[in-house]
Parts: sequence; structure tokens; C-alpha cells
Amino acid sequence: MCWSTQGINLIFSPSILSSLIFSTVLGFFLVFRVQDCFHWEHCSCEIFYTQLRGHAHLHMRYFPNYTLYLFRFAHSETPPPIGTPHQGRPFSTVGMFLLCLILALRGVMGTTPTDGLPGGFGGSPWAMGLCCDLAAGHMDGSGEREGSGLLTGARDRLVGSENTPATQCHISPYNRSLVSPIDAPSIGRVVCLNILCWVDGSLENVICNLKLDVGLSDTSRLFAISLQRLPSELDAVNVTDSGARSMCEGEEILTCAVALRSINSTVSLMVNISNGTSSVQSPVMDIVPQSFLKPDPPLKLQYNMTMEGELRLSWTHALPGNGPFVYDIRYSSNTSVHPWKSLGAEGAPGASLGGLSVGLNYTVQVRCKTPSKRGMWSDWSHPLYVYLHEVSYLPERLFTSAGSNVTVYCIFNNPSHNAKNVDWWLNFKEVPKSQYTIVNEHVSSVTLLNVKPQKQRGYDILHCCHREGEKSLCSFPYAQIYVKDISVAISCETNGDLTAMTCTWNTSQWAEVRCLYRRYKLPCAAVEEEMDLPAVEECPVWGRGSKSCRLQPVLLISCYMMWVELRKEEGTVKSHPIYVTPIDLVRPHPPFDLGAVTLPDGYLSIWWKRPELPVYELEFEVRYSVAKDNTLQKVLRSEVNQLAVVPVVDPCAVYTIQARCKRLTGPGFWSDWASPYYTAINNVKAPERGPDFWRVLQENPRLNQTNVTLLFMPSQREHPFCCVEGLVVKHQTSNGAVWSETVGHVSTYTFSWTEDVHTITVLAHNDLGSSSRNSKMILIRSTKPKSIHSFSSLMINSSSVALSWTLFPNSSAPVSFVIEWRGQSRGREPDKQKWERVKWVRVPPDNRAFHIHETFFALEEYQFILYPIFENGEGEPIYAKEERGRARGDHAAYVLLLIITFLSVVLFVTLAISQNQMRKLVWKDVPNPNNCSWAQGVDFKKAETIESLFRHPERLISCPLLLESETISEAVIVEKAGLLAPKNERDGILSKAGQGGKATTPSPCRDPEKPLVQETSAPPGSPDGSAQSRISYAMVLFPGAPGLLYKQQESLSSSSDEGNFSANNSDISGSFPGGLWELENPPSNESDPRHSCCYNSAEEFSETSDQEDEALDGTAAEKDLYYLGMSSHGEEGEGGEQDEEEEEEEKEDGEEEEVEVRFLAEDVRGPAREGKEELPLESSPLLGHWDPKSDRTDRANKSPQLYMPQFRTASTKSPKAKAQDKSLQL
Amino acid sequence: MSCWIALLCCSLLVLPPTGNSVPLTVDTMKSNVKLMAQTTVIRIQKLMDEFRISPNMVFRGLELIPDIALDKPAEGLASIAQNLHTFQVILLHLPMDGMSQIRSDIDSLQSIVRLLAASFGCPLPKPGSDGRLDTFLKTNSPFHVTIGNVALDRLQKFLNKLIKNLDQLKTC
Repeated sequence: MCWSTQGINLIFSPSILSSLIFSTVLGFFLVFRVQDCFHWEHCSCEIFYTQLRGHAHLHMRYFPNYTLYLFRFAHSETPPPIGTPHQGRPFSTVGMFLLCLILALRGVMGTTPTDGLPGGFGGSPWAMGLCCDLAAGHMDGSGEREGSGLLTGARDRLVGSENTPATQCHISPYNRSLVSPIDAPSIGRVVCLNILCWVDGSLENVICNLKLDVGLSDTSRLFAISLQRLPSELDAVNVTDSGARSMCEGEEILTCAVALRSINSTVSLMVNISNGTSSVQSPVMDIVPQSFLKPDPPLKLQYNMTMEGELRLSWTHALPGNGPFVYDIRYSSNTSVHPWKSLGAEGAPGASLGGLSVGLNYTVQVRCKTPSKRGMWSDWSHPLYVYLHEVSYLPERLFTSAGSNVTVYCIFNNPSHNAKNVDWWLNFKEVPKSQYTIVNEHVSSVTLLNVKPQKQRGYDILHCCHREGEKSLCSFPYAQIYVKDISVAISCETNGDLTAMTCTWNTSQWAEVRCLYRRYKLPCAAVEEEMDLPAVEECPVWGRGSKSCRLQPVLLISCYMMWVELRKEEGTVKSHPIYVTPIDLVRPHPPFDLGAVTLPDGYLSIWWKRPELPVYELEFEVRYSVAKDNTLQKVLRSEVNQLAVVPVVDPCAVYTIQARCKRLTGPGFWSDWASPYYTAINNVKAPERGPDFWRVLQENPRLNQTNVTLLFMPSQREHPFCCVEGLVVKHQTSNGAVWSETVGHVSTYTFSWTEDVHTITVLAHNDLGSSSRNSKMILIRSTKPKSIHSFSSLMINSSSVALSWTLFPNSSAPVSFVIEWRGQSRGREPDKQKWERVKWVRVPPDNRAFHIHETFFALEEYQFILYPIFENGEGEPIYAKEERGRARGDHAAYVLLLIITFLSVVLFVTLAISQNQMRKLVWKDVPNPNNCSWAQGVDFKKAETIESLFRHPERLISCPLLLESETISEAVIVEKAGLLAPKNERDGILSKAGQGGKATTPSPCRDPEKPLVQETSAPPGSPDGSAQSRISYAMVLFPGAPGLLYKQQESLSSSSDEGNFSANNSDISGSFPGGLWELENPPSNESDPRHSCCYNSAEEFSETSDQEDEALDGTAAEKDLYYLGMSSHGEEGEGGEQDEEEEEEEKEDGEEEEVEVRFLAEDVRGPAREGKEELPLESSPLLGHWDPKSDRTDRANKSPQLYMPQFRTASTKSPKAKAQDKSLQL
Repeated sequence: MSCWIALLCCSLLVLPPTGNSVPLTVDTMKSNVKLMAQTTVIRIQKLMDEFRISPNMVFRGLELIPDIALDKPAEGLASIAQNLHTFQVILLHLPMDGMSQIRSDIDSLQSIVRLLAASFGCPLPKPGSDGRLDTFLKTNSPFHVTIGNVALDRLQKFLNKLIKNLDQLKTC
């Protein structure tokens, strides 16, 4: 039925309803207001019928379901609630129907918008104007007298009000001029109020502001105004509800509040005004609280950024269930300059705010009200200040676990920045770009993998910056990543008094942590997980930023669970807790009352006292050292005992002693070291003898004085408890001056000597006195008597020097001798004082010789001086220099030797380098001498020719050097058919020739004593793997009778008078001076010794020296010689080919080569072709197993020929190749 | 008569300890300035070793933190005192554990600089509060790591320059 015109107030003329209202009232107007008609069924209407002239009150409520309501009202038949006079006259259903009908038919007289308080009503709290004439009121006290209680009084007043004159109070619209139509004479007694009431946000109170509009002219009059809530209709039965009353207080605006019983039920209010003499009561005002609700302003206004870069506002309400609300949001960057911008919202508490600029401070506020048009706007919320940085992070703070991956978004609020040009920095270190992701043009994200806690800080910081060239332009905000578990070392210890426990932790300086703990009542060993957790408490720190806290008092045997944590709004980061029991963490006080004494038997007795607390058994550690030298510190442990006895070397030394303690069994800490204790020396008597001493003089010509340095001999301890604590030097000069000087326990003492005679006496002293038997020295400048005739020294070795001297026969006997020596350092220690190098010894007067045992350095020269000492002073000294067993110029010889060695090496290297050149120039052409110009016309078949060729032994001497680097040689002996001697017999001969009958003993290859037969039994091409080249040559003897060969060999071995080359090298070396050949090349039984790796090819090449000379001297018979080629093992491949080529040339050159080739074809090549990789020389027909008959034919046809030696270099590759080469050469 | 003399002597003996303390010499004060500045520089260095800003990062929006150019001529005592005060205000807003001692160091330094200025007769204005700085620090307190790092870096430069120009601390 009602009108759904939202936000329209309908004001009707009273004449409209005059015919419809049963009462005969005049001069009224009807206020009909429609509010909150959002939906038809929820539409509620109220009709205010106010009697202007006070004839009657008609106040009714009119709801959309009015039919039911009124019907019920009509049929309630219950007495109207007390104090609600209008309810005492209920409308009939018909009347109400007619009223509405008329309203519908007659239309609207006027409409006004609801915003604000038009006419003091629309969209406002409950508001009205009230004027009362106090003159028409009751006298004070009458009310109380009329009833015993408020309830009764109210009813009475209500009843009375009906009977009182209508001019007592009247109601007018809010804020309308309240000049009442009351008679002018009564103006001074009239009080007019503008009343504004609403329900507070907590829905607990009705609050009314009463503004005095008229009646304040006479301020001397005191008004008492109160607001009274009348008992509700329901409470009328329940007599316990007596309503509520509140005095209104304030200056211009009086405020009073009465409690609500229910938000939904009607509240009847009445204003009482009293001026002390009379009082008046307003008409009853009925208020539906829900319609006049003024909510509290929104709380916790905040904002965050969405992933789309949108700023989202959010807030909460104190009473979340009061909604829904509509909201009004306003924001401005500078309220004094820029006007507010508004934004409306409804529904859930939140709104998006767009269009904000970067770098401006915005103030944002929000208010709310109920959707009802009568609802009051709340106050504005607390301002939210929004400053948009260039970048925002989402989330700004992130809590995660160690090892997890996290993603953080960065939103560029500056539209000129693009997410493509972004650099992410983690803890100011750049994050690899592979972890970036571009979400959109202005949003980037980074994913951090396997996040770990950082340096006990608890968090990482992440910056998202705009890249410009090499630089990253960053805004200072950052995202923080907290890793929930941080590794923090917490250590606790209990003090020695067991009164407090101090805990320290090692968190970062950039962290803000606090130390918390739980204290169990049981020791840690008894604490179980399922036990109830004690309360968390904070361990008090010593100061801000301190990383230690102290618990005092402390429960010694309780378990403390301690950890540090970093708490933020979004979460908490905790370290792993530690469980400690204070009694296990005690650091005791150090032992005290230390004492020590040196015992006569060389022991040091130390004692101390232990601290009283802790009471458990302690172990002790004592360290002691000579007071002046802490490096020689010794430590000893003692369990429980508080006394220790330790041996000491020097009872006269002062020792420093310290001690500390620790729990003997169980955990605990060592105490600090106790303060050091210094032992005292207990002497029983004064020293008997003063120290022996000597002097060193240093002339100072400029000052005409002599500096004398006394060198004190360390005194021998006379008694364990007779220690020398210092020395006293007594001076006495020739001019009679006497003085003494205490110099302490020193080893030297220097003074100036200026007088002619200066007598010095040195005394030793301790706390009991000085020595009585002292040495005395008289220094005299005059000529000294000469008493020593001779003095010589001989250095026996580096640690001993023998000295001897003789005295003149008639000289006076000295009382002692002093031998002084010093090393003449050569450039070493130039800054040393003279006396620092001087050493001395006193010798008894009877001695004429003395051995000094001292370390004498080879590079120093020593000078010895012998001083005779007489009763009245020193005698003339005599000097001697050391006599060593070798020349003094040894050092120069050493240097010369080094130079020579160096030059030798240089020469050797030079020769070795030139060897190759020489070999190429000289030896390469040797194989075929006929090609050489120098060989033209030379008959190489004759020994004389050979002699002439090798006539220059001095030149060949250099050959060993040249051939030093040659590889091991190989040689093949070719004997002609006449060589019929049995193999073993021949070997025996060879052996005998080489070593003069020495028995041959096989030995390893490298052994110089090894018979070469061992090597030759091996494949000829594998002597030792060395790459050194060798000289290979052989001698082929003319085949003759075995006896002849034997004879020849014997002659070679016995006298070396044969010029022939022999396979037996010992034949040659036997005549070589020095006999080295025998050592290095023992004879072999069966094979060529030059196959040995120890073969000295150089020596072999020297064959041309002695033996050849002897042979060429005529002792050797003229013989035809065959010279075989020499293979080079190192160049087997090429060398083999070269050999073949050369052999081909040789074939062309003469028949001699043909003979050689036949040897190869018949004897050597045969086995090689049969695939034998190894070719033992034993099997070689050239060495004995060949058939002399088969060769004899050739020899019969051809005369024996001589072969020139052929040298090649070769490196060993394989036995097979070696054999092939060999066969080719042969 | 002798009693009066004795009384006078006693008074003379008692007076010096109860009088004003001996004023520090300029050299002593400069020495203390240098001592405190060097100590603070070392402390800052230890703190910043953990969070060393990459030279490629350039921070913007921190113009309220004093940034003293090393190449500019030495400042007067008034400017030094004002900068120290500004740094002190910034440090007060930094909650990290390691800041407390540095704050105390700067406090000591401020005192001795003011004493030095007084010895030269330099009138130093009473340090006032910078509303913008306070607002900035309160608003951006969640970002104290960057602010603290940049502030410490600039403070360290400032102190190094102070040490370097200590002998020129004569102008007001």
C-alpha cells in the first residue's frame, strides 16, 4: 500500500484528515513520512500527528504490513501501554484504511529531498523542536508527592497531561523558529529546545542532543533538563523495569543518553525541564531505534595492491553484524588545495581506488550508514594516508619455510616504467634473469628457489628496480621474505654464585629479535613432549639492541626452553629452541688464595682453595712458568686435590702460577684463570762468592776515555736456597774515589774508565747479604809485563780448539790466565757490539795448554788472546789465530771449483750439440770411403792404411765425449771358416782376455758388474730401451786355424799388441789406462758385451788409441779386416731403409759387399724370415753356429777384405726390427 | 688569628674541586671528535658488511637523508651539528639491534661538536624537528633496511669527511 517513492517526505495539510479523524481537534497538521521503501514489503511509514495547540496527541506508526499490525492492534484489547496516550486511542481498521485511502487519493502536497535535514526531519536522526511553559507546570516536588515511584509518577503525569492545559508544551519541527504562539507575558518562562536523538553504533544507547533555543536570556536561572525513557509496553507488566533517566549536561548543547533495552522495540522518551521552582514534562516521544541508528565509523582502513595493479581499499566495522551499510569514500592529495573527491560504495566493506598519482600523499576517509534513508552517516573514519611509490610488491611481506620456492610480484605504479626493463635484487645482489616472469606491461614477478634463512637475520629483502643502462633505478621500498626457522646459536651459562643465568645469541645486527623461554619444573632429561607447555616469558635484555639476556633468580634444576623470535604482524620467525638446565652450565669462580713455595729438592709446591659454590666436586688446572718467560708455560691437572707438587729446574727463579676449576663429572665450564701468584725465593744464607768476570775494552778517542764492559760468568749455585738476586759492582779509582752500584741480575755491565788505575770488585747478593769472596780486576793503563813467550792455536774440528802457550823462563807466575776469543764475522751481524762477540774462559795458572769446546763456524775466523793475570793487574796479552787443517784459501778454491764445474758443463753441452753436426759432416760419408776425396787412392785393405787414418789419438780423445750420447752399440763378430774353436772355449778365452781369468757372473742389465752375455742373449735390438745411439762395429778375422785365432785372441788379451778390432771389448779396454773398462764392461761368455745397456761405446770407440797404436807399431801382423755396418736403433724405420740403400750402394761398389750380403742371406736372414722375433747371438752363425764349411768356399774364392767402421744412430724399437736391420747390414 | 689563616687555607684547598671543571682545549675536543667519528665509522662498516649495496643500485626518494658531497669544501660547525642531528633523528627511527650503539656514538659526537662550536663562539641554532623528515620516516618505517643502509652509507661518508677536515673546523 504505502508509497515506494524512496526518499520522499510527504507533508499533508491537516484539513485533509480533519473529516477522517474522530477527534475534534483543531489546528493540527499531519506529517507523513515515507522512508526506506527500498522494497514494497519492507516499506515502513510513520505518521506524525501533532497537536499544535495542545488539545490532543495522536501518534501512530504505520507500517507496510499495517493491516496486520493495526488489526492486531485493534484486536489486542489490551490496555494501551502506560504512558502512550495515542495508543490509548487506537485507530480502527476502517479508520486507518480511510486514512491511507485519502492520502492516496489526495496526493502529495509537497516533496522534499531527504539529503540533509530538510525542515529538521528528512534523512536525519529523530529530531523535533519542543517549547514548554514552565509557568504552566507543576511545582517542584509535586510529582514526587504524587507517586512513590517513577512508573506511577509517569502514569500520573500522563494522566495529568491529558488534563493539563494544552499550553504547557508543544512540539514543532526541528530547527524551526520556536517562537511559540504562547502568550507574550509568558515568554520569560518558556524554554524551547531542538532535540536530536539517535542510536549509537553499539546499539546500546539513545543519545539526544538538546539545544536551548529560547530561554537562555536569563542565565541566572538554572534549568535542569533530563531525559527519561519510559518503561516499555512489555515492561509495563514487568514492574521491575522502571525505565531510565539521564541528566542532560553541557553548555549550549546538552547531551544525555539513556540505555536501550532492545533495538527493535519502540522507545518512549520524555524530557523533563525544571527551573527549581516548577517543572514541566514534554509529551512522550516514541522512537524506533533501528530507524535512527548512527553507526560507528569504519575501522582499520587500509589498502593493498592487486595483481592487476589496482589499489584496493578495505576496512572493518566494530560490530560486523550491523550491516549492510552504504559507504561514502572521499580522498584528496591535499585537502587545503584540492577538493575532496567522493566515491560511493555499498555491500562488502571495500572499494577500489583508481587514478592515484605516484609520489603524492593522499588522505582517504570513509563513512557508512544504514541503507535506510533515516540512517545517520557515521563520522568519517580515521584518515588513511596513501603514498604510491614507483613500485609496489605483492606480497610485501612473505613468510615461508626453508627450502621452499616463493614468487613475488612487482607492480610499477609509474606508467612510464615497463616490466620488461626490470632488475630484481635479493639482498642487494642481482637475481638471475632466468627467474623473472613478465605478468603484464607493468607487473613482473620473480621466483626464488630453495629459500634459505640468511645469516641469522630472519629475512631477505627483495628490490624490483627499473633498469636504465648499467644502472638500476630503485625505489627504497622492498618486499621482505621471512624464513620461519632461522639458525641461531644460543648459549647460556650460570654464574659462579648460581644466582643468574645469562644467555647470548648471535643474530644479525639487522635483526630485531627477542629471547623467549618456557620454564619447566623438571630437569630437561625428564621433560617430555606431551607435557603441558608452560607459559612463554621474555628473557630481559640488558639494553636495547643487546644480544644477551639474564634470568635472575634462576631455578637451577629446571629445564629452560629458550629461543629467539622475530615477530611481525604477518607472522613469526623462530629459531630452534635449546633446552638448558642451569646447573649444567655453571662457570665457577676461579680458585683463590693461591700459594706456592720452592722445596729444597727442586720441587714447587702449589696450593689453592676452591670456591664454595657450586658444591659438586671440581677439577683444577694449574699453569706455571718462569715469571719473565711466559712461553715456557706448563699446565697440570688436578682432580679434587687442592695441592700440587711439580719439579722445577731453577729453584732460584720466580714462577707465575695461575689456577682454574671446572666441574669434575658432568657438564660445566672452566672458570677464568685466577689472578697470577708470583713465588718468592727463600734464601737461607747470603752468597759466598761473587761472580767471575772479564772485561772488554772499547776506546773512545774523542772523549779520551775507555768504555769497559764487564762480562759476568754465570755463577754456580752454591746451595738450593742461596740464590743470587743481584750484583754489586764496586769501583775504586787511583784518585781515591770509591763507589758501588747495584746492577741486578745481569750478564754485562758497562762503565767509563778514565783514571789510570781502576779497580773493580763484583759482589753477589741476595736478601740475606752479599758475598764475601769476590773477584777483583785492576785496570791499568801503564805498560804491562810480558810473560808469555809463545801462544798457538789449532782447530781440531768445528767444536774443539787446542791452545798451548809457553812462558818466559824468568817471568813471574800469574795467578790465572784468561783466554778470550771472538769470531771475525764477515759481514754478518755488523751491528753487534764488540763485547757481544767476545767469549772468554779463565784458566788456572799451572796450565800451559787448554782445549776450548765450542761451536766454531767454518766461515768465521777466530782470534784467540791469552791474558796472564797477576795480582796487580793484567800482563801483556798474546794473540793467536786459529790454525785449521786446510788452507785458508779453501773458500776461494771452492769458488774456483764451482767455476770450473760450470765451465765444464758448458763445454760438454757445446760439444754435445756440435756432435750431431760433426757426425753429419764426418761420419755420414764414412761408409763408402771411396766416395770421399780424401780417400782417393787409399787402400783400405791394409792395416797401414788404417793406421794412417787413425794416427791422431789426440784428436780422437775427444771422441768419447762426442759419443757419450750414442745409443748402445751392437757388434757382430764375423769369423771366417778357420774359426773352429769351440764356442765355450772361445768364450773362455775372451773372458780370460778381458778380466785376466776372472770368473764371470751374470748380473742385471744396469749393473756395471753384469756380464754382457746376459744382454746379448736378449734380442739384439732391445738392450734397455734407451734412445741413446750406439756405435756398432765389428771385426772380421781372416779364417784360419783355430789355433791361430786362439793365439791372436790371447795375444790381444795379454799384451794388446794386436791392432785388430775384437768383439771382446775387454781386449781393448785391457790396455786402456785407468782400468775403467774392466769395471764397466766385464767379459761375456757367449755374446757381444756391447749389447749391454751398460756398454760404454765411448770407450769402445777409443779402440784407436792404445791398442791400435800398439798394433800399428808393428807388433801386429798385417791382416785383412772386415768392417761391418752400424745400425741405429733409434731410427729403425728410416734407418733400416737408409741402411738398405747404403747397402745397395755398397753392393754396387764392390764384391766385398756381396760377401757381406751372402752372409746375411745364408745365415742371418734365414732365421729372420722364419718369423723369429728374437735372434740370440748364440744362434748367429757369425758368432759360432754357422757352418765354416759353407763359408769356406767363399773365402777360398775371395780374399779376406777389410771393412771400414760405419756409424749410425738408431733407437731401439723392437727385437724383430733390430734383427732385420742387423741382417740388412750384414 | 691563626684560626682565620687555617680557615682560609682550608677554603683555598676546598675551592678548586668545587669550582667549575677545567674547560677542554680545542685540541682535546678535536681529538675527541676524531675519536668518536673514527669509532662510528668502524661500527658502520661492520654493520654494512652484511648488507652491502651493489654499486649498480641507485636509490631514489631518499633526498631527505643528508648526502654530503666529498668534493665540496668543508662545512662549518653549524652545518655539521645540523647534519648530525638529522642523522640522529633518522637513526632513532631505525629499529635494528645494531643501531643503538651508533645512535649513542652520534649523540656523543653531537655533544662535543656543540662544545667545540661554543669554544669558537659559534651560535648554533637549537636543533628543530623537520616535519617532512619525521613524516617520511614514520610513513616508511617498514622499509627501514634500505633507509638504514643508505643513511649509514651517507653518515659514513659524512664522518670521513669530518675526520679529513678536522683541522679546518674553525668556521661557524
